Amino acid sequence: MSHVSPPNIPAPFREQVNLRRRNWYWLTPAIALGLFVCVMGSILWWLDARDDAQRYGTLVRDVDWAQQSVRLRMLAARDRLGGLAREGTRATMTENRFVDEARALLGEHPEIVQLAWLDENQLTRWSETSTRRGVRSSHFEAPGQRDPDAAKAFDAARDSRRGAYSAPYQGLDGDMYFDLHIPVTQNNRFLGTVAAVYSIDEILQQLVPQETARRYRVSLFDDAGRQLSTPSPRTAGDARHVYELPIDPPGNGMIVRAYAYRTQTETSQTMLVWVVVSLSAVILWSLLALWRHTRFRSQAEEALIAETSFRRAMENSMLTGMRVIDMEGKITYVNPAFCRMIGWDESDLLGRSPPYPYWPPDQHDIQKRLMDILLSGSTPTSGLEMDAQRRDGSRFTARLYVSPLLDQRGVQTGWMTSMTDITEPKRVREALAAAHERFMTVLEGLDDAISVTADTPQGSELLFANRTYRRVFSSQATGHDELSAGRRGRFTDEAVEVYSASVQRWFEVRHRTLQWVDSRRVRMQVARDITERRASEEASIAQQEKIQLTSRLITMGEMASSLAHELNQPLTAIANYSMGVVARVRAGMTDPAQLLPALEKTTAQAERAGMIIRRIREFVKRSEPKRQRVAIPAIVDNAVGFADIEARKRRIDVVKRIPEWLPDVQADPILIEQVLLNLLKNGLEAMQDSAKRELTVMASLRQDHVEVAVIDAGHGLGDIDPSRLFEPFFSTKPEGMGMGLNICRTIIEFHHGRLWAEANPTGGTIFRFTLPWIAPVHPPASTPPTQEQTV
Amino acid sequence: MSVPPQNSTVFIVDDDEAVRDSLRWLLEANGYRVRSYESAERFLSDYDPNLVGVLIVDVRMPGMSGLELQEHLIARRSSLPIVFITGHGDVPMAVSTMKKGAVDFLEKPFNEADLRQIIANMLEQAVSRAAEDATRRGHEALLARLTVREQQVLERIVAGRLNKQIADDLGISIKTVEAHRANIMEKLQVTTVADLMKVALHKPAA
Repeated sequence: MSHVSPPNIPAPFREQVNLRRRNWYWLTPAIALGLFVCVMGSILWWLDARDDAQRYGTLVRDVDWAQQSVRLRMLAARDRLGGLAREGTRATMTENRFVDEARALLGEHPEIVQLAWLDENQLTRWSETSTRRGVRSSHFEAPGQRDPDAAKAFDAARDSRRGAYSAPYQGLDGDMYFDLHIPVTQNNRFLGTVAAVYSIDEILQQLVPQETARRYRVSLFDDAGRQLSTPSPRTAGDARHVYELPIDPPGNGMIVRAYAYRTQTETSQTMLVWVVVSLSAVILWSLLALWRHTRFRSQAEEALIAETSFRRAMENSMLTGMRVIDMEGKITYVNPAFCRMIGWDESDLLGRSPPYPYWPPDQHDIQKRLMDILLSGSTPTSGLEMDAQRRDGSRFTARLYVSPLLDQRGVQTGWMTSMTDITEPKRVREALAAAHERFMTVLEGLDDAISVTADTPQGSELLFANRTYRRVFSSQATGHDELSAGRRGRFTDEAVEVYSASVQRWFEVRHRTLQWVDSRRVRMQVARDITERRASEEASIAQQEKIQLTSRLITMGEMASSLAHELNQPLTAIANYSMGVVARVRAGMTDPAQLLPALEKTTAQAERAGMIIRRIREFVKRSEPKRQRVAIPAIVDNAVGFADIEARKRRIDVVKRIPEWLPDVQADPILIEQVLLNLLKNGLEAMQDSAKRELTVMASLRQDHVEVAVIDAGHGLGDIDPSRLFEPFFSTKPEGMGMGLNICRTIIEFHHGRLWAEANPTGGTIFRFTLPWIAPVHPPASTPPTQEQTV
Repeated sequence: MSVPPQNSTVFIVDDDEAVRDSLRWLLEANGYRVRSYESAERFLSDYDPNLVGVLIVDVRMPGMSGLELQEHLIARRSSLPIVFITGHGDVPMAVSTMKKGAVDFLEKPFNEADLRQIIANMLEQAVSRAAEDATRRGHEALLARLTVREQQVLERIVAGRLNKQIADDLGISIKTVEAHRANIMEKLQVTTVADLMKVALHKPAA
């Protein structure tokens, strides 16, 4: 069955046609079979009838012939007996003569079993019995015991003087016989009879021709219908093939009846009938088998039709466009969805080869290439994407999935393509992609390094990184660990400044927890590179510090350096003028008008020098420290408060170890604060690269003074003599002026204290300074314990 | 006290009016011609390279410093000797300035004998340099009169090549070379080859 059935005939109608055709189809062989049986029957009947007639004719002829031949022999025997009877009247007739004659006669006529000469009293004078047949007794031995019917024949012969036949009778041996009595007369006187005993069986055996005896059962009956001859063991045919004739002589109502034996022709005829019957049976059986087979076929066909209709309904209701092309690209099938999708009718498409009508006219090259890919079988399983044009000119994007079309033997006959309109999904996808791209562009375009990490038992896993992050940490896998700065598991919104050693830059890092796409709690880090900002900040802070230092902490040394230059100017001028005057006077140029201006100028310069010296004295007086009663913890708190900003940036903890109670000192709090701040900053800077990130400020009470120590864990002093640190212009820092510690020492010494440095036994440096304490206003109740406090 | 040369000048650049004026007073008393300027910029705008003299300049000045002024003068190919006035001159500065040319240092306040000595030495240097410069400029002027071909021939004479070789080099006849040679001698106002070499070798390297 072709897979493309005529699609314009509705299925139910097709079914009716099939049924009607099937009925006719079934009636024809039945009628044909009936006709065949009838004709065969007629022919057989006609043949049978003709055969019967023929056989009957033959039977009649044969029986006629047999009867005639029996009659003739009987007549011939009667004649011979007549002759014997006539001779008997003569004297020459003796017993011997009679016996000889009888023997000859018996030999000629085997049907006669006994000859006898009977006298007028019916007594036997002479008799001769045939030797051929076992005649057990003479029929004429005891006349009284003889059958009366036989005796009647003697009487008839005597009375009529003519030969007479007796009625058949049963002999002593049980066989049937009849007698012939020929009267012997002399001169009309009755002398007796010549009697012959005929055996009926012998008559039939000897007189009926062999041919007839073989083909028919010939038997003799008397007028009463009694069978006289011994019945043949062969069964006779039916009554139709029987023929009977009266036979005379012997007369007496005796008839010969012949039954035709069942002949060979009859058997073959029966066989023919049987062949016909069996053939009919075979035909009937095969017809039945055919019918059953056809019924099975029709059921299968119905199932197939149902299946086909189901599939067709499926194809028709499907939204996916199906198309089948053969190996050359010719369209052999399209489903309604395909037609709907592209707006062309099925008839427009079937049998079309590329270019197909739905190819956009300006894309034939692309479409041709896609077609080549399709026909070569190298279509990706994800399908092909192509543009298609509807009949009305509108376009849409379609996705084609291609699979080889195999026939029932598994040979590929073409390609099955399914087409879906992906215009809308594609638009949505593109819109999504565009939105995603916009988002990513923004994210990637940010100067901040954005990363998303999740805390896992093995460490933190990097889930997302934008371009800036990748650029900055391209070669480091631990960038996010550095940025999280040990805040693993802790989430704060506070911005932290972190230094990444791997890329050697400073970052301001903000953390935020997010719910990630897989619903994990993750950390988003936004790191802004603040290296430059920090550098400029630091530069400005350094600048600020320098300004502060010069404004607040100008030392005598610096003043001296500056004032020396100031003072040099007038002194130089004075010397020059004086030397000039001396030279002129020596040269004799003593004109007062020439010399006076120079001398006046000299005076003015001397006054200028005096002014400078007065300014120095005023400054010294003005910059003298303002001492007052102050508490050391308050100074430490202030200084640490200032340093704390710096410490947090450097991620160093500043630890204060200050007793609860300390006596006050007499000092300028601002100057001491500056000294302490200076020492703290030095400590923080020294701990730039240290592993231990703790800077300790310790205050303690000594015998007559309070000692404050700044203990760092920095790089230490190395082989530098600690006392050299306090020399002017000595610095271990590249940008240092070398004045800080010198000024600090000056300030402390000004307060009658000491400032010195020593190496920290656990690494780093310890700076200590002392200030004399003054008598407390309220003495302490007890010795205070040391309090530890972490900022 | 030596007699100061007639055509020499002492230039003073100092921002401090008192110092500038007193130094002028002192030097004029010693017979020098003095020109004083309150800033380096003023001096540069007024400076004539043909004047022979010595420059006394303060190292520390607002605006252009003494050291910067030295750089400018070197850029102008000036051979003016410089004396720096300094409050506290340090060694690195001294080395760098001395490497750049004829300099000396005066520390404030000045010692008169030192001042005179330094100025005298410097002026002597300036005069000899000025004479040398004049000769060189004269030679350069003479050389500038030569044609391109004559310069080519002169280069080869200085290089010690024979007339025949020069002729081969330039693809001209010996006669022509000899003619060029005669022209060169005449234009450079020399009579011997030795003089010719002196003139030619003053020419700065090409």
